[in-house]
Amino acid sequence: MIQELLEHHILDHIVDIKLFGFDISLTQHTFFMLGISVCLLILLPFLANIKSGRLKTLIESFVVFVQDNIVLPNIGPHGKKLVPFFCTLLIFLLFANYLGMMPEARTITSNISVTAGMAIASFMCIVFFSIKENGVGGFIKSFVPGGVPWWLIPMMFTLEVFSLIIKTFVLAIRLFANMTAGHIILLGLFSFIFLMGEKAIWEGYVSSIPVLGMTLFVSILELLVAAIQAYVFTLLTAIFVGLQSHSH
Amino acid sequence: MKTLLEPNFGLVFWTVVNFFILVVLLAKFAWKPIIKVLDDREKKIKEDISSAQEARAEAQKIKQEMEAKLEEISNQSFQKLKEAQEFANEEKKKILDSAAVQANAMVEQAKAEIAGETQKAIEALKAQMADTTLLALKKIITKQEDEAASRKQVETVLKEIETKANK
Repeated sequence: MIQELLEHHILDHIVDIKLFGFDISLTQHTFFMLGISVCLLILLPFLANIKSGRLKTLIESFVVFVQDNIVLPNIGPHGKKLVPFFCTLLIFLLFANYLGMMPEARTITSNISVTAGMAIASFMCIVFFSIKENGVGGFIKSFVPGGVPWWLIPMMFTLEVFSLIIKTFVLAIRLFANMTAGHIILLGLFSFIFLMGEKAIWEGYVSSIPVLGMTLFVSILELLVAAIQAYVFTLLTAIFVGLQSHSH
Repeated sequence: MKTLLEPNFGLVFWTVVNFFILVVLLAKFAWKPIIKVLDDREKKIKEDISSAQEARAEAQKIKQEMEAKLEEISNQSFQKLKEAQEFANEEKKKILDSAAVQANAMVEQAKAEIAGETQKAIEALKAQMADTTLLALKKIITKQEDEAASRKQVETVLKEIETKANK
């Protein structure tokens, strides 16, 4: 169990690949990520093409939820073309977060590299959408709030650029920390059994009873956290896209 | 701990590439068809609501027209009833006047007939009286030898006349 918990965060290179001197080796996490993508690519087009039924209603409700609760209130009507991006972001993060609940699977979002990659994708979405809506000049102007004295402009510009980078960086840290925290707590709880067992074997057995109860509680909490963090990541990305494309 | 927080360039790269490929493919094969169905449905619902509102407005308009026509018909029928009543009253008056005129004429005719009959009776009585008087005078003239006998004769005649008159 402890080994499995640790493997969520360990990069085990399976296929070594170099691109312009950069190491882009395929790892276990890459394959789990690809697995999620393949599952989604099989499942979602199938659900999209069935005529009716509960699954069809479910996927339509999901799209309506993303459109009406995440995209339109934060970006506005012109953000409707980003609905596919946000639907993919939310469902990918949900699958990625819940994958770790399955035995022998890896929670790819408890790896900083994966959450950093997702944050970079969000950052690119924010930048490209803002440029598309306002043009390059408008995008650069969006870093300087209206009515700022000229001598404050360089400082404000630098601050706003850093603000955007930090906001997206924090997205990565938040998701990574929340998804890792549950695993670390479980690791601590299980370690407690072995620590007690080292002193006396019967103490290990006795301590395992409350520890298992607490583990169950933390696992249920992780179920909740997985959904909430996927939603929070998607919602914050939408808010940042809206702020950047509407700012003056 | 350091390994835990140290990003791996390869995994970041594959995450970004994988995610954008996934976005493109899912947008084409899953989300856009679903969004199209939802948009079509929304459009259809809006059209249905719009046509229902139009139908409702049309029904309201027809209802108002019908109410106006009903009121017009009601007014017309009331007017015709009033005219019929007036006509009936006039006819009644005419009939009554005509009846009164006829009755007066009949009364006058009856009066005239009665007067004629009375005149005739008077004439007949006069004629009879003349005959009787002539008869009496004839008898007086024929039997003038004796005054007493004449007197008696006259009295007899007068008695006859009286008797005839009484009859």
